[in-house]
Amino acid sequence: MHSLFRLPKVSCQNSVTKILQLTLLLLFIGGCGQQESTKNPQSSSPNGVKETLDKPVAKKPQVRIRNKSDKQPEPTVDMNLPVGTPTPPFAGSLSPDASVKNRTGTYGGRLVYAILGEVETFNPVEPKGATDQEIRALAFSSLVSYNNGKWEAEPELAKSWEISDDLLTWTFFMRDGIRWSDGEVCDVEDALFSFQAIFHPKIATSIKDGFKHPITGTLPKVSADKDRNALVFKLDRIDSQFLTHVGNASIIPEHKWNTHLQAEDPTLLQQMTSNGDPADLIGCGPFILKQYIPAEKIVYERNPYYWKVDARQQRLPYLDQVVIVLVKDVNLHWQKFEAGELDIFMDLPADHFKEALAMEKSNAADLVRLGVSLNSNWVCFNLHPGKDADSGEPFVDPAKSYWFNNLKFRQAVNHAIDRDGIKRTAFQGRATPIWSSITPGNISWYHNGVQKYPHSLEKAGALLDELGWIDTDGDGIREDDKGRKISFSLNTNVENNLRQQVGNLLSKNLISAGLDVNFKPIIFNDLVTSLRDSHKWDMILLGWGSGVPPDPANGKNITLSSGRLHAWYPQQPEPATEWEARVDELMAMMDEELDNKVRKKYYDEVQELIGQNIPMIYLIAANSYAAVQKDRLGNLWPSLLRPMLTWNIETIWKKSP
Amino acid sequence: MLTFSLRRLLSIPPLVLVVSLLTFLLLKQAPGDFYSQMEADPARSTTEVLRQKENAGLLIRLNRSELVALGTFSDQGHEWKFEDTGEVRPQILKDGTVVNAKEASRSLLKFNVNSENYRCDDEAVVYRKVGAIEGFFSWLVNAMTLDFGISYKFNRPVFGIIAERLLNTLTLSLAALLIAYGLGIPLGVFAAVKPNSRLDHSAGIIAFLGLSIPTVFFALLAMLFASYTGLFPIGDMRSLDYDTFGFWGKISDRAHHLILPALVLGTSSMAGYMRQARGNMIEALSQDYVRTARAKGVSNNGVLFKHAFRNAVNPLVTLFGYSLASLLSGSLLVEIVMNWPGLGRLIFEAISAKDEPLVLASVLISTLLLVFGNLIADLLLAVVDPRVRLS
Repeated sequence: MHSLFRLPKVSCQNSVTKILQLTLLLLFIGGCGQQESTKNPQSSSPNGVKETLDKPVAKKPQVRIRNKSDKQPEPTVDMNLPVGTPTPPFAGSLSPDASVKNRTGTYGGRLVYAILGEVETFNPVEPKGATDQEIRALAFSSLVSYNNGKWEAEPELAKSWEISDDLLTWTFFMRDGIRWSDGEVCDVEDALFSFQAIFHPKIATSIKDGFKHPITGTLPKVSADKDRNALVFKLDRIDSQFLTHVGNASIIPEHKWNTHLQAEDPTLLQQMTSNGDPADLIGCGPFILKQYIPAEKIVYERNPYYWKVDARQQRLPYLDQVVIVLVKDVNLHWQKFEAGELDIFMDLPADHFKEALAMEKSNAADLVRLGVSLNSNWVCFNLHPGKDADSGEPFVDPAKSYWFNNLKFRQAVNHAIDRDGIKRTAFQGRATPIWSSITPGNISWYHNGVQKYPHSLEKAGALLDELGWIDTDGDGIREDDKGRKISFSLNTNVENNLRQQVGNLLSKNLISAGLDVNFKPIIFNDLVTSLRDSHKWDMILLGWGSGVPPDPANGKNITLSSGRLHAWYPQQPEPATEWEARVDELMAMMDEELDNKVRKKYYDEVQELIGQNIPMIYLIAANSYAAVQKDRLGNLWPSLLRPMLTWNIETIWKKSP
Repeated sequence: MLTFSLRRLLSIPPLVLVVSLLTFLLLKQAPGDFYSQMEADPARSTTEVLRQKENAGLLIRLNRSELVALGTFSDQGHEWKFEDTGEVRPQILKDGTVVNAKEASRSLLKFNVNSENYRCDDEAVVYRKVGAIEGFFSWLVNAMTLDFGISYKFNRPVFGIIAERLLNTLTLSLAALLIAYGLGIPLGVFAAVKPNSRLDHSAGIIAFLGLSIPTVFFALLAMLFASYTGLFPIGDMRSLDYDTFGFWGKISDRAHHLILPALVLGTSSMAGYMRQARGNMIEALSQDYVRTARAKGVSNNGVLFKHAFRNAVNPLVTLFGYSLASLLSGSLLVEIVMNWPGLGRLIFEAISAKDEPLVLASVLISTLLLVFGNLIADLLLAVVDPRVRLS
């Protein structure tokens, strides 16, 4: 789990444009007749659409872990490929410790792809959003990296690491003879400097937070062991996420920045952020920033000193350049891909699925089926027992609170929801019902033993009847045992079209179970404010995104009863229920356990507890897709984890430069 | 004319003040702020979110003495007190017993003392929320020294960011303006000279099409046209290989990219100018002085351009003043749909993300342009119309 409500990338603007586009296509088809439309490169000919429509599937609730086609094979090695010439050429001598990748490829060419929106900062010490962090990985390296293809951590600038028996001392052995992109030697001094910068009390960076002791807030002690060229961390607690935290920290060059790490008021962050001069961004990543034009493009060029080699001892990366186009509009993003201007398209939106499928049929591109997305959609009732400090009014109306806090009521609601209907209607069949925050796409953490509540209006009705909440006045809406009409509102964020569709279907489900739901989409900020501050809401529909690595420890802000995003009752002074106390306990145990098998057992229990007590009703996870132009790129190893196609960019090569 | 201009210029500061105050209050009135998105991200700690807000000037961190000065206050049924014991951090007392920061922060995330709002992070660092009026005045004081703040999103001074985009937007809007005036006025004039002729009718059809097709739709059409025919680039201001081109290559590349957006933007406003020009011209041509001029034996062109046109052009000059104001913001939709790296896109993003300093700065610029545009229009009017006297 972890990270972000799915950002409302699809703005209202796009819904308008979508409708307009449809109208336009109709006009177009009506005007041009059939033979024209079959030639249409938009590939939305009437015939094409019908053929490529996904047939409505699966009436029974089914859980699909991964199709065979979803499994992404590791790229193979072909020793006979031409080598090509790298421009710019490599510089300096190859490190004896160079990391060897079992790949082959041809030098040259550039990879072009687009991202939606704008880069906020290139600063490696304080990256802001997920996009910034992905872009940062092009130019900077960490001691440890995450292999999205194998779903495991692997050595990067550190060639290996070891842990002491008490699990409190971590030693990272640096590679010898590695150079920065300006040719200077990169050694343990730089690594030490980087962590000193991150741990500096006056430097505000989110990377620091992960290292902090959860109660005392103290940081690990870091020192350099120059004889062994190793960086040593002394922790004051066992931290199962330590490798992840280390992987988040980019190593920055000491020789470049050492004058900016003053004891009082260090100017490091401002220096790295404010002047967007590419020459300042010296890193150890496969590429160096060459040019950045705001709102237009970012150009990266090969780092001539990069320290990885391939199966033929050729130095990496293969690509001469990486160009990232900055696009604001989703439709334009797609049009650019369709016209061949972009090599890859990550995070294919549902709106363009059919077009992508048509491109695959006409052999213009490959549609990459990545499996069930790690992002979950859920609904949640407000269980906050508190009162408004100013007015003394309870946050939640006592009648509503009475219903929401009743487990049978929540079970009934869960049974009333037709996940397969939502899947068919809103997702055109390209989604999977879920019962926990961990979707089946998460192969490391998925737990099949979570309690399921299959769609059954009879069961929902029976549960409500049992409570004595029946429709006494015959208006189709049930009244509770005290005669109050069961009526509440459901909110979601208006920026997300798909979520609005889900909300509509959901409220229909609940109305047919005899619950009066007013569905009202509101703006995202409004939603967050009521969730966080005013606590005046009944039921909300939102989603969680996911991070890399997809470890549930990243979701502590949601699972812990003290969490800011413990949506149903955030920031509890103490755990409100016994099972929430148990969840807190299990999460703490997970922090101190390094064996992932044991950790999974703990988290399985967390998932089961949440499944039994249903504070959140998890609904559905969409399938995830990407698209790649046919025969343009070699060594692609697509992954569900972001960035889906470019995480191994140092080994990707261009087939026709 | 000088006193007139001076008087106009003097009216700018109060206007700017009122406009920025209104903008500020409206921004504060809407729910949430720039950091709402960050607060909704489970990967962000409360400590970090509050620290970012402090950097942005939305919160003020309390120092030791201020913490102690809070005295005893109650929150959620407990009595709280910060006590200075000479340690690194003040001691926290909950109902008289000492508690650690973690426990305190769990309960104290948000509290009120004397109707001031306080926030407390995961380490019991306490911040005071800056009120709307207070925030405005601190912005104003900085603005007096020409410091318009740092964008929350980009962490850079706002005017640097605006300047990057300004030229792009100006290129687009000026090209569009050129199309609008360069085609609209002649077409309108010719249509008026021969009303109900074939030219008039076809110009009328173009005008109504331009007026009735929404710009977004037109822009989408243009993008579909570009991707269907391949004649024009799909969005953007220049191609990816722009830097490798020679001087003329660069110019033609830019022109190639400019044609579609400028046409889209230009035709929709062209229609308005054309109808305006036609109406004015027809009215002018029916005036007595035109008949007099004709009777005098003035040549047909002389009548048209010396007498009728000069009288018909006045309202167009006024319109020109307004179009100056919309130079920066008028191309918003086209910029988004056609990926033009302009200011409109930037402002739109800033408003939707509630990046307050950026919004305020851009509103300021638009206000100034409007005022100056009107001033220029009035001055121009005095130049072209001898009947107008500015005093």
